Amino acid sequence: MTAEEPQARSASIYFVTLVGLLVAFPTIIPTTKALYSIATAAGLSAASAWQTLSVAMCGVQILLIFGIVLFVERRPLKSLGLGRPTMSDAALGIAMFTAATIFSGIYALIVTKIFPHSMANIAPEQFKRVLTVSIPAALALAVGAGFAEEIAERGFAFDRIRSMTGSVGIAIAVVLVLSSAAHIAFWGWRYAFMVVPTELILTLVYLWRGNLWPNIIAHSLYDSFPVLIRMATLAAMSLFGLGSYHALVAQFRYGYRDYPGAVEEYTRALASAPKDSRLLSERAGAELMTHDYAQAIADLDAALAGKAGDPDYLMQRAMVYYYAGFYQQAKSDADKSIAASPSARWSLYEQRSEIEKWLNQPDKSIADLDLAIKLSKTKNAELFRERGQAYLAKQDYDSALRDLKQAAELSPDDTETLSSLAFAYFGKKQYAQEAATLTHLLEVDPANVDAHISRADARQRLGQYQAALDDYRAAVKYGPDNAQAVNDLSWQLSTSTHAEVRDGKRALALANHACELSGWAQATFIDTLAAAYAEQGNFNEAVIWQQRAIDLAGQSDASLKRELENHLARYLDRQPYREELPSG
Amino acid sequence: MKGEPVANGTSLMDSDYARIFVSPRAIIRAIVDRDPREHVIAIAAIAGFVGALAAAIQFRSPSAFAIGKQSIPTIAPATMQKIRIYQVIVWPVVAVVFLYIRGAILRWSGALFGGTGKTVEVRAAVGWSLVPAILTSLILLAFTLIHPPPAVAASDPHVAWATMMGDWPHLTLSAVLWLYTFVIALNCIAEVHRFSAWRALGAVAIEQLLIIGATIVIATTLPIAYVFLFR
Repeated sequence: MTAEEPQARSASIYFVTLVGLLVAFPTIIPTTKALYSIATAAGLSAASAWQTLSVAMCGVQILLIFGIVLFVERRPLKSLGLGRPTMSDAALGIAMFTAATIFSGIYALIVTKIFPHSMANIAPEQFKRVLTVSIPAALALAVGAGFAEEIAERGFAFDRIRSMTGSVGIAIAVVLVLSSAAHIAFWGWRYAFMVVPTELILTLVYLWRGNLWPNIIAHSLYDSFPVLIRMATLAAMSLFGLGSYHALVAQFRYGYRDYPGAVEEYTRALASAPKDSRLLSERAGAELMTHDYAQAIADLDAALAGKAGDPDYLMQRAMVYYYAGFYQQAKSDADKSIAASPSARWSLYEQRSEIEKWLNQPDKSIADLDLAIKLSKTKNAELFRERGQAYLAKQDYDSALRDLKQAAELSPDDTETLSSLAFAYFGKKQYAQEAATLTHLLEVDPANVDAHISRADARQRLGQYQAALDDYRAAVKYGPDNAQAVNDLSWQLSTSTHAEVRDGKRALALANHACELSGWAQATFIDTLAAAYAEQGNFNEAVIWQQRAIDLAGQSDASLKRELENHLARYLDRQPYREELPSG
Repeated sequence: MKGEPVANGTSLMDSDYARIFVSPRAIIRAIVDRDPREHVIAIAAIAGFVGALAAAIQFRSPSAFAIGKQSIPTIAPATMQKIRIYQVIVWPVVAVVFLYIRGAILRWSGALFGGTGKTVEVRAAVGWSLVPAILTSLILLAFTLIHPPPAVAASDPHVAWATMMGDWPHLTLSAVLWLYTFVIALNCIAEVHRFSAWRALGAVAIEQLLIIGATIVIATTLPIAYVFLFR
């Protein structure tokens, strides 16, 4: 045991220890969170703010602890367990790292077995978060945390708490709790719960050896392990001839939706093979996701220069044009792609059909989807859904229903299919089936605000007012800032013919919120506001706002204007508006 | 124990090779006092040979594994068998190299627990503790030949586990023999460090953790270093 023995206790020791503990565990006080918010408000991305702030915090933490020890406590740095590092420290550090990894894995297995819902996927989520920063930054963070946390938590806090309380047990418990809790600010409480075994091993070994170097090495290795494993896997894949290292890193980052990072890595890969068409095409894919259409098209031009008339690159350029809004160029490239393809491929026809939909050529789009369905070897739910949607655009509800039912059969829980199917039933005025389809959709996605609104409308048409009201309420619950949902509920609360449903006060608050959300520019929402005033008996305000709604509607929509004027006439007669609905 | 000579007996049953099974501490003390280098390298090389031979005979088909999402092709059984036969030649050398590595690490990890053994003495303890390991390998090999285990379908871990568990006589015998071998090894290491077998357990745990950790670190950093430095 080389850690220092408890010293004489005095008020100043308690004060210095308290200040030191606040420095040692900064994340348990709101400072870090506040700094993080300031950094993101100043325009730094979440990843950059995290990376910059964490490295800076590590540096500041180490300096402050050193300052307290050297100038306030007037003790040597050896009192933090920092002697001269040796090979023996490195070896023990590596052994501790292995022990921490093994025990953490076993602990994670047990915890996820006991709490399968709340404790699952912690490691993958952490891994994803680590991937948001670059590799050098992630390694710097790992090493920085290894030094800062060990110096602060074990080197400083453990000895001081032990000196202050005279109890090793209390010191272990306090350091264990605080060092685990220190992870909450950045990683959340679940991760803090998962690091307990690692913190315990680090604390016990420090208690045993009184030397911080093995802890620093083990901690740094443990934190950098996910990054090292990722780098090693990609390097090994590269050595097995599965692609250049940077191209593999780029694919990896693309897979984790880090598109700017993927572009960066593809650029590195292209530095050694600037004319590689495949790399250019893949970089274009990443650029498309960052909405850098010009660069994506330039890359695909270059890819096509290297591999003239390649149908895949042509179709990829067509889709970039399509997303950029250049539909004619998109169509032209898509036609060339299909012409150049040595064999008919359903995916090419499917992509061209998408472009044709936007060019308002539903028949051509349907014809391409017919071909795609014929060429596809398996029954593809997506193709049936797309053709169903194309029929919906043509208001051919029978054909749409046929395809969408087929798609729903193939992929029963696809929310996009269910939503389109419900719309097809609406088009056929089959409201019961529409409501049933939306019920299925809401079983899959209970927080789908649009589905709640649509089912509420369908239920109203079926005369199921209470059920409809429940849906409007659910829509506002899941989408408190969804202007349509807020407006629709307000309208029900103002205009229902059922007195027990009406609630003028809530209706007015909701109507004001909906108008604010829509920038006071939506005639129908202001109409709802007027209805809420009328329901409260404030007809003067109702008339003012109804006139405003009529002005906004202008001449563009004659039927809407006529309806709004009818509402106005009632308010002038000092009568609230009541919506007559079909009987159930 | 020092000063009480333990005869390097004339018959096999009276020799150190047999008596280490029942009095490991006394035998290893006598050996290190007499000559800590005695037969150590030869025992390690034989242990490597027997281990590789047993592995070659108890051959199991390796399953394909993957790096990233790219699967690495399964090694053909014939090729694997060749590899295992080559191992019979290579493993004795590897075993001697490991004897030196483990000797050095266990001297260090034993010292962490207050051990006073010298590297050469710890190496003798590691080497001589392989004698029971050799016998265990031979017994298990004989048992395998008499009572062949069922083939394991390695592609399905549940099936593989169930098949393995179904072969309980082999498993039980293995567990008992290897546990006994391990306890003898702990006593040998404890004796040369002049501490308890429990401390030897701590020293061995740290040694194993270091070997695994170092392997992970090397396996992780080597491909990275190669890619960044040479490509």
